[in-house]
Amino acid sequence: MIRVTTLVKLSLLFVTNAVGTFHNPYVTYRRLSVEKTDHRHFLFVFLLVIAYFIFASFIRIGKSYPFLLSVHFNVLFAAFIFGFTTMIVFFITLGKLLGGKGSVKTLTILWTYSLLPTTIWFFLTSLLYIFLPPPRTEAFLGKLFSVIFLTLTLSLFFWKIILYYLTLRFALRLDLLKIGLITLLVVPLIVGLSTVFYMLRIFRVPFL
Amino acid sequence: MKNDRVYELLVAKMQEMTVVPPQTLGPLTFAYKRIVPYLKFAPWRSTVTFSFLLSVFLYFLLGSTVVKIASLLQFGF
Repeated sequence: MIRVTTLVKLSLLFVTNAVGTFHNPYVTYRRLSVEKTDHRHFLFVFLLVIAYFIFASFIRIGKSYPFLLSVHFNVLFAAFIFGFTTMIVFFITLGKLLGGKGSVKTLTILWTYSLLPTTIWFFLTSLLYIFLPPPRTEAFLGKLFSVIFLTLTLSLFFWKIILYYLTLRFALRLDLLKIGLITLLVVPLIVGLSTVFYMLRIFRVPFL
Repeated sequence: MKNDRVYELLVAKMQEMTVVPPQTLGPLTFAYKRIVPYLKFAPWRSTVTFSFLLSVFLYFLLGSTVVKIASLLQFGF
């Protein structure tokens, strides 16, 4: 059984790391890759992801259908776990083939923290779906909102790319050229996964 | 004992800093070293600025298609 003091310590570590990945990602990821203390703080990211899936299920299904709600949540979570595991297996296999050195544990921790921009984008989009439901109009305010929304989306996307690069750099000790090679192979994989998720009506934008 | 603790921390920090060798890109290394600091420390400043400029550029390039893209993305969760 986890003690309260440990829980508080882990949650503080999580907050510090989460802020670090936003403000100082290079140093934070480098520290995370060599840290020998309790690693369980990264599990808070999964709690955030689960919170999002519960929230998304409520928005999509509504609270009137508890059975459908739980089915929807389970499908989202299973698809997320499948996508997450696929990415980890893909990175570790290609990384080792290219001479990378590192452990699955470090890779998992670093890739988990890279889910923060993804989760934030999905939360943001879901909230905006409630408060400012689409479609946008072509009036001035509609155009202004579209530019602001695109700015936020692109910013989070670039943050994700930075964390993706740092994950491969520090978890597998790869250089830019090898990361570029992996990226050339990972893009078709992501396109494939996205298509499958879209066709199965699970995610319109892949949760990776 | 206090000095030993400081020394241990310094050694740990030095080991952390040398966990990966410096990145070189041949003739492009100079340009790489100029750009990367903007992405290493407080990258949100450069990414938000760049994203805003890119969004405005897309608006002037694509016109009302940008509104459609935003609407489509809003359905994407």
